[in-house]
Amino acid sequence: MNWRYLYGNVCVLALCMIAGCSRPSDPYDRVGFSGEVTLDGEPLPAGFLYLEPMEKQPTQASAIIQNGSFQVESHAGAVPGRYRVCIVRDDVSDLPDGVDPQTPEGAAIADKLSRAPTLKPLPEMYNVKSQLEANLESNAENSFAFHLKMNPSPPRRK
Amino acid sequence: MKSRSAFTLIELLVVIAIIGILIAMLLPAVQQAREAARRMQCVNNLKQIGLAMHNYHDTHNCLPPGNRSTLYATWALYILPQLELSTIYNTWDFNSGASGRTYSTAPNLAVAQTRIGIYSCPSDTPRTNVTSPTAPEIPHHNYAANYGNASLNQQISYTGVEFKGAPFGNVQTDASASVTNRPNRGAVNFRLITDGMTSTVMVSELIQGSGFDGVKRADLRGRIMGYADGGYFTTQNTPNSPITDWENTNYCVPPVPTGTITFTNSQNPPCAQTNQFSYMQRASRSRHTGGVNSLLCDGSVRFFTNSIDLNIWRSAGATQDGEVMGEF
Repeated sequence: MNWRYLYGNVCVLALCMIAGCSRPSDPYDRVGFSGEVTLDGEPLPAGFLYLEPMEKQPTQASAIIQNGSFQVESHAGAVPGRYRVCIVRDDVSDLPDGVDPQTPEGAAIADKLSRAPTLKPLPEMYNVKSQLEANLESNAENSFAFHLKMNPSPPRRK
Repeated sequence: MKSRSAFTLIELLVVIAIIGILIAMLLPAVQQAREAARRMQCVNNLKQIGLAMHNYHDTHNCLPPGNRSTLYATWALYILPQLELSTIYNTWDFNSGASGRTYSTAPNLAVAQTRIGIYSCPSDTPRTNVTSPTAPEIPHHNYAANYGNASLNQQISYTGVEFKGAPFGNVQTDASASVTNRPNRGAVNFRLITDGMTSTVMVSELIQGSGFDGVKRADLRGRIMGYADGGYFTTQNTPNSPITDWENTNYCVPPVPTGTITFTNSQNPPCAQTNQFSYMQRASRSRHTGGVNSLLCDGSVRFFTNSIDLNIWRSAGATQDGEVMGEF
């Protein structure tokens, strides 16, 4: 027996064993999506977009909105179907200096501020009671555009 | 040439190479065996917590409160006697709301600063954190009470998921815990878990957050001893979800910069901060590969994978959604 053959055999054996160690991947056929979000005509600077299943799909998804656009690759996406779209703005500043929420007084101030925030959040019709929808399809571009307004009026959807 | 009975250099190298390959194949297996042992320890911790919860229920005819207002006590303190930790339980001032004390002032601070083995998962790195340069250092732990399938306010979540019952919740409202942000849900007893004990999660895992920017930004995920917002999770998002947790203002240190936060710690799970506390929510997370260990209300511990069907996970989090937990 030639040493060279033994080398080869050992290498092939090792590769087979390593290949056998791989884990089963994600069981869902997810699709990616992308699009843009504007607020009163301007691109939304920073925020989060969530897809909530409307047809009992087993997956959810979220996207980070930066300068009015978002993009999610298929591995982080969701299975096809109808989803409710919820959009939350990410422009929350820290508590005012001197407010320590680890004291009862500071916690009371923080609680009060949270109910009447100085920076107005997006209207509830875009998140908590969202009326926006997106339909994810396989083998499609899944590109969406959402035009939001701070003063609620019926939302438009592409 | 006369042949000698000895190894040639080539033969020796081949033998060494084969041994090397064998060791290379064995080493990951050893690491996996060690992780398996740690996971078993974690399951055992959850089991002990489950027994303590049931013993608490036998004594008081209800589960312990999830939290009392924001700063006074959490479930992790109420079950200390059932975990045979009566000495530190007796140190805690459960009337601290009236006496002006919090979890981070004496005598409670000594308890909050004790690391409790049963509340620590060996797969995670033990962390401590402070909230200001002068604040005391308090250790974090790994287990969190189930606050239902929506958000911390136990009404509706930021994404419109409706609350359908939870085994734990807030039991005291005051100026720092308003009805909107933390409604008083009262303590729950087993009669109210109408979905059945086998299909409801009671306690699950958290990853201990860390990172302090030197001024006021700190990650407090896992500060379960006395701090209301440290020791809860909800099942709105699946285990180890890549979706961000919504944390208190000042108390989120994300792994990558977000719109408003530039101070980061790559070791932390994803988070964002909200100024609307009522919509805070946090997924269960662990350092185990592929999922989290969760204690069910019947006292059993099961492993929930990251790819679990979202609807099953949410129905496992709710106590009164009218659905038994499906197969997974």
